[in-house]
Amino acid sequence: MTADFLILSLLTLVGAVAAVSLRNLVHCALALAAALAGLAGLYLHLQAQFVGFAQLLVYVGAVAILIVFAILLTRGSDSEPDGPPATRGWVPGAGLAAAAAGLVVAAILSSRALAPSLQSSPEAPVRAIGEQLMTRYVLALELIGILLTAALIGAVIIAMTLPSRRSAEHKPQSRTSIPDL
Amino acid sequence: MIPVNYLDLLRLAAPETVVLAGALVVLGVDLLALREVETGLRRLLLLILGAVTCGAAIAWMAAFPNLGNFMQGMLVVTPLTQWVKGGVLALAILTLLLSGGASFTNHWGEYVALLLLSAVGLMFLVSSESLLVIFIALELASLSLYILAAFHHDAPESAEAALKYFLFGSVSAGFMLFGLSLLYGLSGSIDLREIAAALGGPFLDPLLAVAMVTVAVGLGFKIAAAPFHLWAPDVYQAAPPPSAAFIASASKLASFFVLAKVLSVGMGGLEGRAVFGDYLPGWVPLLAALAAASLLWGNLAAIVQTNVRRLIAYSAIAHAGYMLLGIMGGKAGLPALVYYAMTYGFTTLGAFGVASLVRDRVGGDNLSDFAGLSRREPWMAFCMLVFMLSLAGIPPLAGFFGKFYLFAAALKTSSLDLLWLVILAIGMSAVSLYYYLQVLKQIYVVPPPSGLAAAPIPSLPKTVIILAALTVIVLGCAPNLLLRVLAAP
Repeated sequence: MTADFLILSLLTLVGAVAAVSLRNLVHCALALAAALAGLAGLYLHLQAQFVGFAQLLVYVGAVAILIVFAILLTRGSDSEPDGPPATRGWVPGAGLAAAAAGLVVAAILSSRALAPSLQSSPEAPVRAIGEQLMTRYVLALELIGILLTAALIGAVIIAMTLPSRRSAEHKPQSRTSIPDL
Repeated sequence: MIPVNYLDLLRLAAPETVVLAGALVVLGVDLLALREVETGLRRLLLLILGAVTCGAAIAWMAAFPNLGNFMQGMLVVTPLTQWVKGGVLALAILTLLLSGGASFTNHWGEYVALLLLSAVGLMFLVSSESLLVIFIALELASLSLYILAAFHHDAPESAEAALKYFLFGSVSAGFMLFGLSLLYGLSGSIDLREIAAALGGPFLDPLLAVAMVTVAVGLGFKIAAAPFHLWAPDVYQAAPPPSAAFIASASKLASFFVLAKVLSVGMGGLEGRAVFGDYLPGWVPLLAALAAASLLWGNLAAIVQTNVRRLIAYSAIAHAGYMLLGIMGGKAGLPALVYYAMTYGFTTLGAFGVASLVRDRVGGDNLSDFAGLSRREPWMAFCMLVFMLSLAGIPPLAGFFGKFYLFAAALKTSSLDLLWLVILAIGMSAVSLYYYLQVLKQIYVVPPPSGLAAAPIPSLPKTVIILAALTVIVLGCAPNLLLRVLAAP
């Protein structure tokens, strides 16, 4: 365990915890960006250059900005919820999480299967990744395209306030508020 | 560079491609041609277009039964997967037609398109033996289902249920991805058959046990097995009824099939043993624990429910317990499992249909709202009778033979190892009879409330419900119709 690994994982973990526990949405988005940047660093640390830089470009660069834009355009920055958080009993949750993590760590430490595979560092140039994506993994690539289409339609549907219904209900009122020309 | 025949891929994935194209056509037609059309007609046209697409995919599979294996397990088409996909599509058609009388949204184009997209995800889920494609297909199906659950814009409880579904779903997807990556790390492959070959022997590495448990968490969420069932009652109760029916039927059929495939193909040889008091680590004891928890919790919690859709949700948890028995029956249990999941899908879809008609009519779907349904709607009451008795497992309905074959499969392959679980399941079926009869008592015995205005029932949902009831009766009287083709090699 090296110092750079410790710093990167600390950045990722603190960012992730802050993203779910801060009260201000913009702060949450920035904390999420920090966590994503830490993750990109971890990928680079693992010699996965392509994944690391893709993470940096796509998530830290584009997605984080998009989230901040979406928050600012829809709710404004002053959207701190009033009242205490809905869930207060975090002690049993933290205990369970620690127990589960302990189990996984114990399993990793006692496993015999992992020792040899740690030695190899995979060499995956971008060209090979591209070729694999278009040949062996072409179905997975296409499925991700469908997945994103479904997500896009769903995001629009969920975020949309029903204009057709509302306007049908409020038509008589709006007609009175607009002067008849 | 590996040479790839993309035409091969198109040939094997033709049914999925048809449905996907149908989804895009529905979106396009809705946007370009139907904007000005009145909502009722638009809804009808779009629903029929979606149903025709699914029917075309089924017809394609029947006319051109292309079998094969694309790129080492990325897409594996066998007669059995064709039948399961046909089941998913048939349930999708019924779900679409069931929406005929509904008015929970104005965005029918998007609704039909998302339903078709989730059917595409379920179809790929059924016919892949690669961890990567299985995970992406599962996400495609789940994501569309989250949105379908949130489609009731005017009802905050629909959004609440969808949010719960989404949060539970994303956490369990995370668990599952963790498990899949461990499997890949341990075996060096994402193909289920290669994984089984690499893992081999009965020795269970601790990390492999972690992988097994986390994969069971991910898929246990999809099949609503206890203790990963917490989303189910809320979603079944508050999501728009057709969405809930689809989540409860087609999504369950595909998820059970893929769980059985991952365990029996990818972890063949790691079954372990679940004899009472003498067990060997493996996935059979794991599933036995899940099944016992689901049977007990589902059946006992269903007794105290006052809402019919919530009651169906708890009974779904119990039925997940029965179906897990079929997975423990190994490859020989697979036809029995598919038969049960399919007939269960038709049954629960029909029950949701009746509940949604009662809700439209009386304004709620609590038990008391069903009072006197037999006098108002004798046909719908009779269909509900068929569904409830089939769920309880009364001969000659499909539910009885489904349970019979599941129990027989579980006992046959494990040489009576699972006898304790089968006895528990039979005992719990007796318990379940109580709450199913509670529903029927309301329908047939309790007099209807006075002053309920008569209103015509939309004919499309009515036809679907009667069709579902007919299927349950026919498949119950002649189970070999389906079982023979499912068991064929």
